[in-house]
Amino acid sequence: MVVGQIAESADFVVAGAGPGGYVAALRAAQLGRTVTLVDREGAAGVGGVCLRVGCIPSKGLIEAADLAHRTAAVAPAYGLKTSFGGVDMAAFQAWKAELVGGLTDGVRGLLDKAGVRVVAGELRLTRPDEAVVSTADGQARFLRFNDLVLATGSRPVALSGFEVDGGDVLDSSGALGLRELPGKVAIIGGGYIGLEIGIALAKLGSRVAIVEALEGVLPTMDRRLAKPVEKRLAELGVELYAGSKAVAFEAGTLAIETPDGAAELALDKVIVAVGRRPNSDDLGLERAGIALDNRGLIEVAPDRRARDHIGAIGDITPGPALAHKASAEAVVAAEALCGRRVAFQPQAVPAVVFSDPEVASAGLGVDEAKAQGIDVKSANVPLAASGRARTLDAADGFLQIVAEEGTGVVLGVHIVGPHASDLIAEGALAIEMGATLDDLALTVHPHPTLSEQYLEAAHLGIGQPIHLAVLGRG
Amino acid sequence: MSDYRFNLPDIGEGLGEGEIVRWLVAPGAPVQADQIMVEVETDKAVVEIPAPVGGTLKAVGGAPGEVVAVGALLAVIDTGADGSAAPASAAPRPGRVLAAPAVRKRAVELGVDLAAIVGTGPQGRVTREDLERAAAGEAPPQAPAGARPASGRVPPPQRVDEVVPLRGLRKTIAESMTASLQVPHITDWYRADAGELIAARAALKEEFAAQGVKLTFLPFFVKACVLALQRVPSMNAVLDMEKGEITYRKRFNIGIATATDAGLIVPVLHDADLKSIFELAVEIAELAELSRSRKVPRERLVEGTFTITNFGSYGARMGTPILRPPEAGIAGFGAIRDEVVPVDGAPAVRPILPVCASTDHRLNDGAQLWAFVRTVSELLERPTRILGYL
Repeated sequence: MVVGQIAESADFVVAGAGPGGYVAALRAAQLGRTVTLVDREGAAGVGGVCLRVGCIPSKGLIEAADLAHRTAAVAPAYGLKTSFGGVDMAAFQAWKAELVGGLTDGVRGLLDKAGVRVVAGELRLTRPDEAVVSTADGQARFLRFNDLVLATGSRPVALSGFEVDGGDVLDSSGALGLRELPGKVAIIGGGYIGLEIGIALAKLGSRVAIVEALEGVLPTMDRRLAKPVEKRLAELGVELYAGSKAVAFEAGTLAIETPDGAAELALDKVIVAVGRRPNSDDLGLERAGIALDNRGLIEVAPDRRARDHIGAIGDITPGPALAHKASAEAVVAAEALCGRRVAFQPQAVPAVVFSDPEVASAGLGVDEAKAQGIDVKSANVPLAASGRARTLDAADGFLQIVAEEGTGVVLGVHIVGPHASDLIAEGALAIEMGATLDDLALTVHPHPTLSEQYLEAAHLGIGQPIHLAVLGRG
Repeated sequence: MSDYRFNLPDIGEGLGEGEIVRWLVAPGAPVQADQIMVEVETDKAVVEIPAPVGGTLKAVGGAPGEVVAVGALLAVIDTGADGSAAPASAAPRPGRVLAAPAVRKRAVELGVDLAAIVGTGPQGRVTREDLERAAAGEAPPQAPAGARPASGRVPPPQRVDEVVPLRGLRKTIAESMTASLQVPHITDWYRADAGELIAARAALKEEFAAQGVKLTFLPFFVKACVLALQRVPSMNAVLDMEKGEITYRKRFNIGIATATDAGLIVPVLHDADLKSIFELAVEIAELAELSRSRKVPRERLVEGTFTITNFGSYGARMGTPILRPPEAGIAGFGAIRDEVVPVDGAPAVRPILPVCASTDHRLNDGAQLWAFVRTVSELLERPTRILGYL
């Protein structure tokens, strides 16, 4: 600390302007606090990784790639005389910049209207009630705060031997910023980030290989959810090296170790997507008496407070590192620090993967429920039974409901198929409300839509399927 | 396993139902035979009900605030022995508590544990109403345990009016007071010179204290009222307009209006005419203690024929006592204070005890009421006169 440094007084400080931090700032401002939002990149950082270089840009790329793919591979089946002539990635980046600019301008406008002051720099605690905010050019200012929300997010895990250099070795953000489509590319890591980018690049015309150390893609999810995706990968010509390890990348050659022995892949680019790690290591937490667990995460109370006056949300706390979890926690943390009695207590945080087909999951799987000592039944309806899915020329996938035996209370919903990411919201609501299979079966679902899968699965779970001849229990 | 189905027993004279105040044993928790399991509030008292057998409290017949009829299921206790199977729907749920997100949020605000509430919704879902009922039955008005003060400098909290259901003792009082509106009241007042009464109490105080009894003015008030009632029997009577009858009560059962945190209750000194000042002092102290903990047995809350309200005990001086139908009389005593009064044509400072009484004007006219008030007051001004009637 600079001797004689005088701290400015700041009432409510939020560190990190991503989907957790900016929501916390807005909520605190709504509750009458004077809010300072600190982000490494200042106003340019508003929206965080998710909005600027993560979720939103990747959805743009995935949408473009799917359109290209359907134009080339599906349109002829409808009798459409079209063809796909390739992608101008620079033009895509211009479109993406406009998309992101529009959305971040919107958030900046909200912050501005709410009177939130945005400050550039990295925040580091110096005392329990004071932090230094330092900028890249060596400027530092001290903020004395009444309350603080930490929402500094996460960054990609670095893989030894594959240092991200912005050239041939990229991380996920770099991959989404490509101005030229790579001819041959390998993705190291078959989790949802690598899978989404890999499938999109393959649909745009790259030759894609995915190297995953575990037994298949989406290793943290149920194998049954990953299977239709792996089938699709094969159809798209994506090579999947499961149970394999990337060893080195030199002179355009990636050395890998597979269960069948060593192999070499000739590549233009390598994209490293082996997970994310919390940005919790340089916050000066020890100055406020806050300890990290062995994963580098901050343990918080149900109201997301780590100390009476310090909250922590999002990727730096336990639980799935997902934007919607951070945003939901942000409201709780801001309200708790404003003296309200609140708790973050969802029954389910849905997880969605924008793969092809999409995968979405909320609540308990059959095995998880059994492990918790809950007697469950499961009803599984194949996508092929959906007329609407057929009109989309999609057939691989299913919707599964896991319900408590006896009561029929819905405990989990798992979906593979088109628009699974949107469909899962109904399942999440059912779980939160304690809805039963009867409740779902008695809710009139519009025809013809993909949502009818809920209806059929509920009927099946009750034992009275309308459209399925065989009583199958998965 | 074997389920013991325990029905709400008859816990007092003429009791038809009781309201669950709180469960002292949570569903799913072990309970021993004779362990106090639940508090049930009747129209007058809170009764503690012990478990009849040991085992696990498997299901409860009502959440706090719910009314259970005598003879209806109060609890299911799994005794662990082999026997008939339990009704599956009554078993506590493993895992999560079923409640909508908004209800869970409200539970956190209220500091209420949803797991301790028996839900009335489908599959035991805890509804908003279940929660509010549970909270009204238990939650203290101050912040419940676990609340932490905010770190300061926050805007004032939203101030939302609190609405609570009218029930239990407050409801009984409300009903009784509404019924009293049917009775045309008249009230008379008297300012009694309490000099000799103070001296009489002082003379007896130490002797009583040596026997562990604290002597207040109240036993004197009771004794004076009993003697006055004997002279004016229509003040100890009951009027029944429907039957067209007046019943002159031959027992002198004097109710003492007693303030508790939950409201007024009126424990009764039965046959006060047969009891000495000492015996009355002992019984009054005992009833006061039981009242404070709201554990007055039901039989000691009924059969009053006349009521005394001693509002002087909290400093008030004058009032217009409201009858407790069907009683025909009520007397009120204010706080004794020095006042300037004329004595033998000159101003003098005397300790003055305000005395008042109300009666049912259908039964008594001003003359009877005045006879009663004057008799009580003169007996208290010359307490040695009471000696003549012991």
